[in-house]
Amino acid sequence: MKKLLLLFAVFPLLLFAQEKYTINGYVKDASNGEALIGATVLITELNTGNITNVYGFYSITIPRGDYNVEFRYLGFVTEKRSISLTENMRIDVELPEEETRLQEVVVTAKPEDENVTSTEMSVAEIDIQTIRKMPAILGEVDIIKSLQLLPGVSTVGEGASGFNVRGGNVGQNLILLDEAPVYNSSHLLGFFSVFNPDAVKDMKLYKGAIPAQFGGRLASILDIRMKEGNSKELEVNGGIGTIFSRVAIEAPIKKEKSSFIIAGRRSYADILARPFVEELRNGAALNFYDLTLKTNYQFSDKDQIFLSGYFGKDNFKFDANQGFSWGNRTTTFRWNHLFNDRLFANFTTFFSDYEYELAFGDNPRDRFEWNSDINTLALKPSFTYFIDQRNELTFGGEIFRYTFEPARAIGVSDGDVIDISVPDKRAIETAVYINNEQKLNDKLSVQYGLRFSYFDLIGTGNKFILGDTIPGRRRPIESIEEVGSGESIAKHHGWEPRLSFRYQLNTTTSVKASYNRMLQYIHLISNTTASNPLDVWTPSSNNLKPQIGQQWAVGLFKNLKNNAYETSVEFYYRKTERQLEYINGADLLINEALEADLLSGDGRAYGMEVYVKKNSGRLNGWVSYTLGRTELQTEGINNGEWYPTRFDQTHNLKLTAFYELNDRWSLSSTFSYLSGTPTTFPTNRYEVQGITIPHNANDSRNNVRLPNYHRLDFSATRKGRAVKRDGTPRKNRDELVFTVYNVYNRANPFSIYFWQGGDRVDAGSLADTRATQVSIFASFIPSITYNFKF
Amino acid sequence: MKKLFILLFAVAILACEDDILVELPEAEPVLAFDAWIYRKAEKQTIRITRTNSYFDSSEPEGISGASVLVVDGSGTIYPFNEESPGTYSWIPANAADSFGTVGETYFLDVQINGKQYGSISKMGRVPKIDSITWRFEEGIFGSDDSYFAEFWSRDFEGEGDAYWIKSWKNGVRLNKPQEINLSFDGAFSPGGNADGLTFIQPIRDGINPFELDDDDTFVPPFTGPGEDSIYVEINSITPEAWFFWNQVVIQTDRPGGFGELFASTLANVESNIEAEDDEQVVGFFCVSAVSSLGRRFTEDAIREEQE
Repeated sequence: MKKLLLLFAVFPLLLFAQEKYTINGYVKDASNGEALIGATVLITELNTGNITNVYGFYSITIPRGDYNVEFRYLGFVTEKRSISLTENMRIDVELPEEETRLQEVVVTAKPEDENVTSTEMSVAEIDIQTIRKMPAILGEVDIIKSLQLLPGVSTVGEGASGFNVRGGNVGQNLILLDEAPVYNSSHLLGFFSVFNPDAVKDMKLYKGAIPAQFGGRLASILDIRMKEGNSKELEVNGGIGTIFSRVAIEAPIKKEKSSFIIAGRRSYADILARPFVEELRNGAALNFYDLTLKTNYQFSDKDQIFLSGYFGKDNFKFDANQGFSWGNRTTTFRWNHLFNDRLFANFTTFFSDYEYELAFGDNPRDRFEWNSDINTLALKPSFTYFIDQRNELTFGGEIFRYTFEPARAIGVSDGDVIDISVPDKRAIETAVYINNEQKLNDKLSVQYGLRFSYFDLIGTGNKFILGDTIPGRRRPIESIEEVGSGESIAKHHGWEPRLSFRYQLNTTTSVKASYNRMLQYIHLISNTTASNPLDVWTPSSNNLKPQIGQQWAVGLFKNLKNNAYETSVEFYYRKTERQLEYINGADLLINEALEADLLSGDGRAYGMEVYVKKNSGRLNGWVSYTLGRTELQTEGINNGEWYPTRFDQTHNLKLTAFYELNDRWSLSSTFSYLSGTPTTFPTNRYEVQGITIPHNANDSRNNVRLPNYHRLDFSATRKGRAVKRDGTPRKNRDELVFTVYNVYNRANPFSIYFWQGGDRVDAGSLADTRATQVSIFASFIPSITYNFKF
Repeated sequence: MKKLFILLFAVAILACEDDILVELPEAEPVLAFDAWIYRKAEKQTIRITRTNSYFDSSEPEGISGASVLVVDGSGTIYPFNEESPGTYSWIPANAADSFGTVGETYFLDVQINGKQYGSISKMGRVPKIDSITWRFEEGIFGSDDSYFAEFWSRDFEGEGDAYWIKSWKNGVRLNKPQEINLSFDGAFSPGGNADGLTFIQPIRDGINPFELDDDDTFVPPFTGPGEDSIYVEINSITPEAWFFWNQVVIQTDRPGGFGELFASTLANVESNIEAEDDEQVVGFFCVSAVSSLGRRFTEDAIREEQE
């Protein structure tokens, strides 16, 4: 393998055996030392160049000669250098922000035409500055909710945890925070996401054309990178919102070499209520918080290390011993090393953990305690070899060790203790990958990669041999084999090819196409409308096979008026296999024989995504429209016919606009119009022992659509004065953000349910059945947030 | 559970609900069986009707002229005679006789217009109820102090015992979907592998009425000793019947409001009654043994917390 890699790497060099040298280095923000991700480094004479990676590193290899090099990043002053290239050169650059930046809203911080010229497609990005300006529910800036304003991203409804990408379910998204997976991205059951916007530097959602370095989920990869911390001077950001109060401190430890950031958020309603509510003083809790930490140290020109951590928790406790809590923890250690001018390496090791706990019973003789956990320890070496200006090779691998603890639970009933735990499960997932991005000529570039992944569920554990039954019913357990420590219970593996190409029609237009195959070895078990914190992840086994997904996409990308407008239209088709469904009445929690209640089906999703964005001017923003369909076919459901998923939306239109009124005031607004999602209505009713039971005589699933959804949100930001009375600039900055969610007060339906009413039915009478529509945020919600920076 | 409810309510204030008129898909009615037979010294009834359209609260059409028999494993026939359209009953020969024997298997045999429908059920064992007590609970987060009734009984040793616990407060049957109280081996469900326990506290508590006032706040089931009384029955059911009721709870005890985020899809409840061809029918046949106890809420019925 190593020889093959070497050959791969050296081959292009042999073709162009002339004298070549490399320039490389880092591009950073001059104000705070943060690495700039995706900055362009352009060799003017050759009209070629490269883009900085996630650590701000670039490397370009070109023939000996005199060149002008430009370092560009939108919103920053372009830096020009004249060089005489007679040997390898290291050029680290710090770009200052443009003076005009404060005067206009920066919608993107990417090179102006990257969307057209790069091979990448099917990515959704919004930079953190833009997210901050968008109206958010209760004024709480939310990364995941913001993503839902982009094409191809939706949710099952307001307040729902997670998001759906191109018809994939919530459990098919891999959310990475500094490379560590985050298993539950929600606070407060789904109302807020767990990422503190003050600590996030960059994020990118891959909806398709997923590079070979990523794998493990079918639908998407959300790659979130934390800030490194200001390496120039102390910076404090913070704010008080309706829900959270926040503070983030960043500062150099050793100037230009080392810095840190520590950022925390906490809901504070319970603190305010404490003097008035006795329970809160006696151990009851109603709060959620998260803490993000990161530090880095640059040892040399060639070595830099990063250590980052995230700790988040939600607490809902009736008293000191009873309640419900959940949270994620991640720790990531990274080492960047430059082996030589063109070989950039990163070694990551991380630990990620999601845990919840439930406890009931205030009497020690009658108690119930349950905790569940999934944790992952991983090692990921990755390499980028900047071969020449036409080839950039990435390769590497990863090895994950999973521990699943579905239930560690005890029940105490009248003093008798019973252990109802479900045994832990352990698994190893490994993958190796190689990917080359190649510019064939000025017009055509391709990215081709291959990933091989392998999964092993290992003992100690019970291997359930299940029998067949009528599709849709619980499968009988035929036998249980005990598998010893370290022995394999089930093994799975597969190849995951990835391919994408771009053809430049002219300087402002390109077409792109891509294909990828993905495998998913761990599964989120959830059969409720929205995912909830109790949902467990479970590994593939002898019964539960890995999910398989393939996606094809084509797109047309065009920029207008000197990149003032960015437009794109993409078409996608996803075909998925072994999609999870559940028998009616499935017992998903604290059930060792869970797999007997799972069904396996096929999925398909297809659609068109249109995106038009205006990048500059006082009025800017974007329009996002998705026309889509996502369906499943499962034996035992809907008579074996295709049915739409609960989150299928035919039309999904979103408008986002920003307007800079003057130096002090800026406005923003978003509007959403979504087709109603499908739901199941009954046709008939019958009574058994006085209970009225709904029945669908056609046995159909998701046979009706909810009414359409539309909502307008608005926010206005008023900046504090930028200059003191005597005219000198103020160092401290602040702003007030006024937000109104659901401006025209519409009660948008989340669901319609059928029931026999809340009153007790008299003996001999029949229940008065009815349909009830539920709206989650049924009224307009105003809020004020105060933000400061010094 | 009540506590979780109160806590979630604090979060749910933004949600809103409206009863609405919706149009339902067209469908042909199907046969519905309500064939639940108890080991009691009284008339036993089986109802056979057609399903109504979902919003139709009128009396469903009864099926007349059917032959309805229950037959046990030794061949003894219990005929159920039509008493009114769709209602078939068996009356014990002697007033003191109960239906059936614990451990016996029973077959339902129904003929409608020459077509046969059948099912099978085994009468499970049922533990006796030792006592009923009341427990005081202080209100939290502004809810009222209250008393909860509890019944004391212990599941049999050995796995696979399923129960349906019914209760009456002051003679009124607690029959809301939220009040369906099921147990498997003394705990909630078969997955947990419990066995031989005193019924766990949430099930002991499950005999209390579930009431909300106009503001959707929880009404205390009992406010103190006095005239109130409670009557409890444990009905043995088959594991299939437990699964049936479990599905019924999912379909009928809708969380509503904010809880709809975590609701399950509406789906058909599986029936254990089969037609000779593959005609779709609904309903359930089960034969239950019953134990019962009643008590008035007097001062001495209050159980002090044991440490």
